[in-house]
Amino acid sequence: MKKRFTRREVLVALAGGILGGRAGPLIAGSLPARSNRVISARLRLHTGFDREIAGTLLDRAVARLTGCDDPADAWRSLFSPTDHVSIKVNCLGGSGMSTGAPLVLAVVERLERCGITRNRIIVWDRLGRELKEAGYPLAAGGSDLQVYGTDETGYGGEILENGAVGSLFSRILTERCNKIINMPVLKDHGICGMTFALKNYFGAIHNPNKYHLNRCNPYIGDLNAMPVIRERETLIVGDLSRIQADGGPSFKSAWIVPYGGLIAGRDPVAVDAVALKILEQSRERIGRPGLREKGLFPDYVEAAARTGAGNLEGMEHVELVV
Amino acid sequence: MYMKHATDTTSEIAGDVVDAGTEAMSRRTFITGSAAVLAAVAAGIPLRNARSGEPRTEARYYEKLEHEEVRCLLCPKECRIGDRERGYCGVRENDHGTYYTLVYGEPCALHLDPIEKKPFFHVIPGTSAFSLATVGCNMECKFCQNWQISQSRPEQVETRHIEPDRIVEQASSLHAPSIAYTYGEPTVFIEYMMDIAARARARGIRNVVVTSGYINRKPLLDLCALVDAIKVDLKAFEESYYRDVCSSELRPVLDTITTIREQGVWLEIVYLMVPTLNDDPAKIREMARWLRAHAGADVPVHFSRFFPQYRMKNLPPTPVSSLERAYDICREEGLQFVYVGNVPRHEMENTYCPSCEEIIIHRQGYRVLSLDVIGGKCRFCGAPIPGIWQEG
Repeated sequence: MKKRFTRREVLVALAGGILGGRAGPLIAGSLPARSNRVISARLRLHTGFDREIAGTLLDRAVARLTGCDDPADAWRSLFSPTDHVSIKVNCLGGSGMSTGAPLVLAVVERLERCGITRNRIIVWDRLGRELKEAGYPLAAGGSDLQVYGTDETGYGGEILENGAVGSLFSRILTERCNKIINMPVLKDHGICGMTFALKNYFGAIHNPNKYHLNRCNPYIGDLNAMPVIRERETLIVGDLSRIQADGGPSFKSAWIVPYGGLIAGRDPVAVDAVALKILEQSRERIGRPGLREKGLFPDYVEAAARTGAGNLEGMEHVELVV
Repeated sequence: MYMKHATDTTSEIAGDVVDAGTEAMSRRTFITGSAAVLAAVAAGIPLRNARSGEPRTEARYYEKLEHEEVRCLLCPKECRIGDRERGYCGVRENDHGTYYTLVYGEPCALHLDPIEKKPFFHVIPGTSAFSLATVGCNMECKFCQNWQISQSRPEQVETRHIEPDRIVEQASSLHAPSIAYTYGEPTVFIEYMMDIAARARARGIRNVVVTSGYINRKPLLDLCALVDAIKVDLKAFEESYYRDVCSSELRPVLDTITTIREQGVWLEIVYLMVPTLNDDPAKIREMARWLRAHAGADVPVHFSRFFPQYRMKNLPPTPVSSLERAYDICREEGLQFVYVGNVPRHEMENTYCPSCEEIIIHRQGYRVLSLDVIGGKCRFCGAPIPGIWQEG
């Protein structure tokens, strides 16, 4: 593929260095271990984040993530034409700070290139109202891209449990897809410090309000370790076009930091570890105290590694600047 | 189907296997019962916004913080809540620094129940209570029998908008002498409850509350000024149980019990006995002594049988012998009115006069077979019997 941008690749962190070398041990679960390589890609000059630029960053990141030279091969290594794919976005921040349509549409394009028809791709969150407020036109049925909330389908009837968590899960997750692409946005969070890939699944259960105690720990880890998620989560593409560096999780314009990038990975714990580092840098950039100083350090990230939700040991962070 | 076991809301007691005779409403009659104005839980239907398009109601117990955050002051959790977030209960939401209740006027269950089902045994026995609930709870008990509503959010459960005046009118038209706030946790719909209670009291209808008692003092005092009786679910007498099984705390509940008594509101206690977890005889004795000292020897205490539910299906039903042992311990410690619940036709569901030991209220499940309390006194010996009794 012809390169349109110059790039600088930096191997940033190894072996749990993201969390100060205190990475937890790998817990052997029933599911096969997944690569904990994380790619962060950003523009050298932040001149906008349209669908084309998002697609370029996305291809570079996913190719590097999978070890393929050709982005098309990279996507085909993850998705096949028979897949039903749901894209879990995060729309709590309304039009100001939700997963952006340019990046989501770039992902959809690449799924189509894998042979997946548009009506087998669902963009979803908790409520249709929240999707609409974030700028996604709702569409349920027909041959086009599906966009709707769990209020369209309801939750499954059985409580699924793991550790401290017992919840009903969105039927979009349990019944309408075999693969998930987790597409969070990076935000400060007034209760648990940060919301990104791991916490995005609070939008998939019926009772997230029960799991904010103790800065969401151990709930986030227990939730993400559940097979209903682990078996389906195929790719994480976090939208870092902008970062809500403080005052989150709702949109607060005063603390938005333009970043012009994304994070791609397959291990949500490793992805969140990288996101945490970027969030802290963003906070420093606007003169906000570190999360530990604020008393809101998201311990749940490291704790999640101990639940089997992911693995920090030997993790690799590759930073692409294009 | 969205919610399984949608009709569990009829049961006040885990398991609800009581043979209540002709007055009993089985779980399956909940939806079709004549007084079932609204069968709430959205079984098998798409979810919808439960707020009926009605204006939201500002919550009464909270403080505003910086950056559009609020702190809820309703219960001891005192959740700090960011903009567009909800508290632990899931039914109160911060919208740009103003805190709203999402369940005002939005009952998800309405029913006419025997008051014995709550259970209240010393409050106008043999009458019906017009009973209502909204979704939401500020605790999460792993044995919750009504989790389909208590652990849900407003948009997940079918509701109908009914203003307080209309609730009172319905209770009156059904000749219910009381309105019971029950099934879930009334604390989380306190604004709605208080507005109904004030109107009901003005119409001569009593108000009875079934609660876990996990509430701050100020809202509790406001509530006590409007209601006649409160039944507190005392889950255990150990902090660790409250923390591990109920995501809550014991100390504030004990404070609630003391406050209710101080305020002169009629109090009854229910203790759901879960095998191996809160059935230690030494702890039961400790609790009995505390209750006698702080709530009085005449506070009715109901030991209720546990049946596997919700997230606690790994334990067997409570052996009846455990309940009987707890009964004996409490009697030894001087508590005068102790009951065994959720065990059909058990002799310890009757009320015995503490003076002459005659049966003064003979019960079978939710049915009152005979009532020998006349003007608040034992028909046989004239001893005063504490409670709220029908006049005449």
